This record gives sequence, C-alpha cells and structure tokens, in this order.
Amino acid sequence: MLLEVEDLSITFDTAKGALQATRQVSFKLAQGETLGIVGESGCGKSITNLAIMGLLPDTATVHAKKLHFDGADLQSLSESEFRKIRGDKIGMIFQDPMSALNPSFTVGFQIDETLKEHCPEMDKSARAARALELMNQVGIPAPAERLKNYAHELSGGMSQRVMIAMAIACKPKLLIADEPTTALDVTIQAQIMKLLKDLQKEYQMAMILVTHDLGVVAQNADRIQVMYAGEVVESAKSKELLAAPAHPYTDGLLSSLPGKKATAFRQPLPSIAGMVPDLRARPKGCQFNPRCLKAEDKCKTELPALTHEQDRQLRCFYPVEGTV
Amino acid sequence: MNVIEVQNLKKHYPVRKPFKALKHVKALDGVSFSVPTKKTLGIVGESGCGKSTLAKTLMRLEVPTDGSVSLSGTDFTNMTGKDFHSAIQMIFQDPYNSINPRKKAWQLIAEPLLINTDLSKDECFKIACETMKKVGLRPELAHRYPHMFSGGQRQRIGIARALVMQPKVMILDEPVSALDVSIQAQVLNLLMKLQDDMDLTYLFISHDLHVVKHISDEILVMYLGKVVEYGARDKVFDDPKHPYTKALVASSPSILKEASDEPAIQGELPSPLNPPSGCAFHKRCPMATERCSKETPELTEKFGRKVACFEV
Repeated sequence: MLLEVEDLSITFDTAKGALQATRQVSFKLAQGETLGIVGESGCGKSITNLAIMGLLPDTATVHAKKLHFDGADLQSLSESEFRKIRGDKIGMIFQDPMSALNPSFTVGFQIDETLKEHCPEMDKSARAARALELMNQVGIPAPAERLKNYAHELSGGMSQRVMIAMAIACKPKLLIADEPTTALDVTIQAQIMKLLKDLQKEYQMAMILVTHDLGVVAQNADRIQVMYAGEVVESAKSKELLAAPAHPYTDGLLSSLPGKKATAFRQPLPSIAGMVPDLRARPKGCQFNPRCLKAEDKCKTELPALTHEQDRQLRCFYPVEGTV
Repeated sequence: MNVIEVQNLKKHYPVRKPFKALKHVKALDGVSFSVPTKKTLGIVGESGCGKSTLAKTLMRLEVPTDGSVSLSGTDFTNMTGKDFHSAIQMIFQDPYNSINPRKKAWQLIAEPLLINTDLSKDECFKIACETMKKVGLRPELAHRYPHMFSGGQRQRIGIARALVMQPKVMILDEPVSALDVSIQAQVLNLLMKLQDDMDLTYLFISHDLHVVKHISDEILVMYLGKVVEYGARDKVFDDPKHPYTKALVASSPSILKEASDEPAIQGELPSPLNPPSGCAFHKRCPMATERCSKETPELTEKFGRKVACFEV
C-alpha cells in the first residue's frame, strides 16, 4: 500500500473551544489507484489532505494510529524531512489556479523552483528543458513563450495546466487534487480531467480526488469515500457505491441530484432536510441522525462503528435495505 | 402573453489603449428572446459568454448599446424606478458577498420596500417577516445578522429580498452553485414552489446543465455574446444540434454516464477583444468548413428550435 491512514483525528484549538475536524478517518490507497473523496464543505475532506501533506497550522493536533506513506511514518517526520517529500513524492493541485500561482514570478520560474528544490542533480539547462517538456505534456500551446508569462496572462484552464505541470514535475507517487476543476468551465473541466487521467497512467500515480461534484468522481474515481462531519460514512468501489448507496446520507445526496431519469421535469427533488452540524457542538450518537429519516433511538445515543464488509466501509446501524 | 421580451439586445464595451485604435468587447451581440408568464428560460454558456452582462443589462445596471427590452409590454427605459423594481428582481450567486453584513435579516429583506414604497417601518418589518416565512426562514431570526446564518439560509434571505417587491420576473444568476449539494435541492425546490405560488417568470442562469434542465421550459445557449441555440428544453438538451451545445452536453459530468475518452472539444473561449472572423466557434468546432471562417451564421429555425450554424 502506498498510503495508509488509520484512525486519523484532527482537532483544532479555537477560542470557542476544541473543534474536532476529523474523527477516525481510515483509508488505504494503492499505486495507480484513484480515490474520490466527496462531502459538503466542512466535512473534513481538505483537512485530511493537508494532514497528509503536513501543511496543517500549529493550532491543529493530529492523532493517528497509522499515517504511513510509501513506507515512511508521516507523523514522525521533521519539517525538513517533510519538505523533501512535499512536491517530490506527493504533488498537490489546489482549487483556484488563479490564486495558487504566485503573481510576481513567471510561470517558468515557478516550475524551475520545484525542480531546483527536489532535483539538485539537474543543472540550469536540464531544468529548463524539463520545464519545457512539462509544459508540452500538460498540453499548453506555444510552451516556450508561455514559460515567460505571469499568472495574470493566463486563462483559468491554462493556469490549472501550469499547476499540474508543477505538481508532476518530480513524477510524484501520489497526486492530491483538491477540487481541481471547480473553478473551471465544463468544457475545460473535461479537458483537465482527461489530462489528469493520462498523466496518472503514464506515471503510475495514485490520486486523491477531492470534490463536491458527484458527477466528476463518478467518472474518474476507482473508489469513492463519502465524508460527513469529519467522519467517513461510506466507502466502496465507485460503481457499487453509485448503484447501491448503503448509508442514508449517500443515498440522500445521490437522489437529490437533478438530471436523473427518476426525477421528472419540475418535480420537487428529494432533499435532505436540515444542515451540517456545528463541529463544536456535535450531536450525540451518529452525526447524521438529526437529518436522517431512518434514525432510531439507538442512533441518537451511540456512534456506529465503521464496519468493513467485502470491500465496503460503512458507518450506519440501519443501512438502506437490500444493499448490505 | 410574454412578460419579458428582449429584441436584438447589444452591449458593447469600449476598450481604450494608448496609441491603439479603439476596440469594442461585444459582451452581448444581438440577443433576442421572450418568456411567457410563469415559464422559465434557462440560460447556459461558459464564463465570458455574456450571461452575466445580460442579467446586468436587464436589471438596468448597464445601459444597452442597442436593442429593446419590454416588461409586460412596456419598454423598460420608460419605467419609473418603482415600477421597474416591482416588475423585475434579481437573485445573486454568492450569498456570502451579496448581502450587507452590517444589516439585520429583516432590514436586508425590507430595504427594497423602504426605498420604493411609502410604507412605514413597522409595516415593512411585518412584510419582511411574512416573506421570511414564505422562503422557509423562521421570523424569529429577523433580528439576526448575516454571519449567523448558513449559506443556504443566506440565499433564502436573498430570495426573500427579491420577492418582497412582488416582481413578475426574477433573474436567478447561478442561485445554487455556491451551495452544498444537499442544500442545492432544498433551494431549487423552494424556487419551484415560489414560482407556482406567486406566478413568477424566471430567467435561470447557470452552468450546471442538470439543474437548468430540471427547472427550465426553454433553453438559451450563448457563446461569446451570441445566441447559438434556443428552444424547448427536450429539444436543446436531449437532441442538441449546434456543435457547441453538443460539446456542453457531452462535457457535463454525470453519475449516469461514463466519461468519454476524448474531451468533447479542444481549446478555450477566444478573447472577446479579438473574436475569430465568421462564426465565433469555428476554431474549436469539429464540423467547421471554410464558409464558417468567413460568414457569421444567423439564428434560424431548424428542427423545431433556433440554431446558428451552417452545418446543421
């Protein structure tokens, strides 16, 4: 296994009390595999990735039984050791390409920076050649001229391609894509997702794809992990999860999507009532119970454990019938 | 009867650069449509296609370069502020930035009344509370400030604020795209219910084709300031004819279909400052011929909808 996360809990110290951003998050990722993490804002999907990247602020405390990447225990790494992994073995793409690039330096300089840090054996001309090769690889027309451009001279799709070029510069083993296409138009989104897939095949990268768009994960991930209020509520192979969601939350999310044959024109969409709980004042028992139609007394007092059954993880006492 | 009728609407922005000839960005270039009462027109297209300029121009926030807009038969330039604002209202995309953080919920909702009517503050407060009930907010929350509400609740405040003038037409500019998936369905349901209850006509702008398809009777597809396809929802989305509409439909991610191996179209939206000659889409179009780079296709009636393409 390339990445093993077991019982990851992240707590923030805030002025208003402790906030548990994730609780007992566990997952594994093999080489070449794509894990899609879906959930609403505040469900802990980005925080989990920041923990893997070692980019959490000082106010966060991380507890995990296991946080292993490629044989190394990420929890025991010092900051300087982490710097060697970040950008080298793990690449990351952020949501908003326009603000993730530094506006004061050229695109070429920023790609060069990554190579300088992680590939000391390359000299200046080798790095320049590699930068050009990367720009070509991510499908940027006229790459030599583009290297001299600043971020404001590029469109959103182009900036995201540059971000991808930077993330894959050192051929990482794991690529974390945090909402890589949310800021982009649909036709560009399709192009970028295709590019990521091709690169993944070429470099045999594992990928964590974080998004709130169920359509995007459905089309691109091997496994889907659904998170709610900082917990994994369900995780399974994409097709199985979409065909037969077992957790009432997953089921509710999927049926609330417009554009399915089952929901006819202008019919009210089945929606999940209420909203995500405040993580400082979590409900007792199952985190989803205040919004769940199937909740019983047991759900209100006891937190269901994450069960593993035939490749499916589930945190629910009363799963949707006929699924498990 | 058509509550809103737009004829050949144009909005050109002059771009002045030193030592260079004056250029124009044609943000809207001859857009025409009409929407009957209680119906919804969905407007789709990528960023930069003129959707938001259209919304702004219809709201009189921009002065059109050419063309006319009539609301229930009256030209909108001849309407007084009060008449205009009770005819058309708008809901914005981002519920975090579109409402004043220093005002209480009821003040935000009642503000159009305080400006446009002679009602007293107490009466306005009462109407605001009633409107809050309509949009699914408890009136007890009237004295809260925006930061005490969630994103979905804030969007409800935005909806209430638009409803309070009892408009006939509502422009919804990406009303759910800033919201979480489970909240999107709630807000969409609310919008559909309000439309039935209050006989509203919607102009629904969105980039999410599934959402647009669910709510709209007719669809207008825009590309670089022009209408490329316009017709009934089942015609335009289930059987798109214009290559751009086809690409949009094919690129739209769905849980029901597998991703295609090849992206539907290559390239990006051209710069509106230097649009390609002829058909603006021809450089990205798989069907383009020589004629497309020379002549601009007109919107013509074909296959039961209007489409601007030589090759269909």
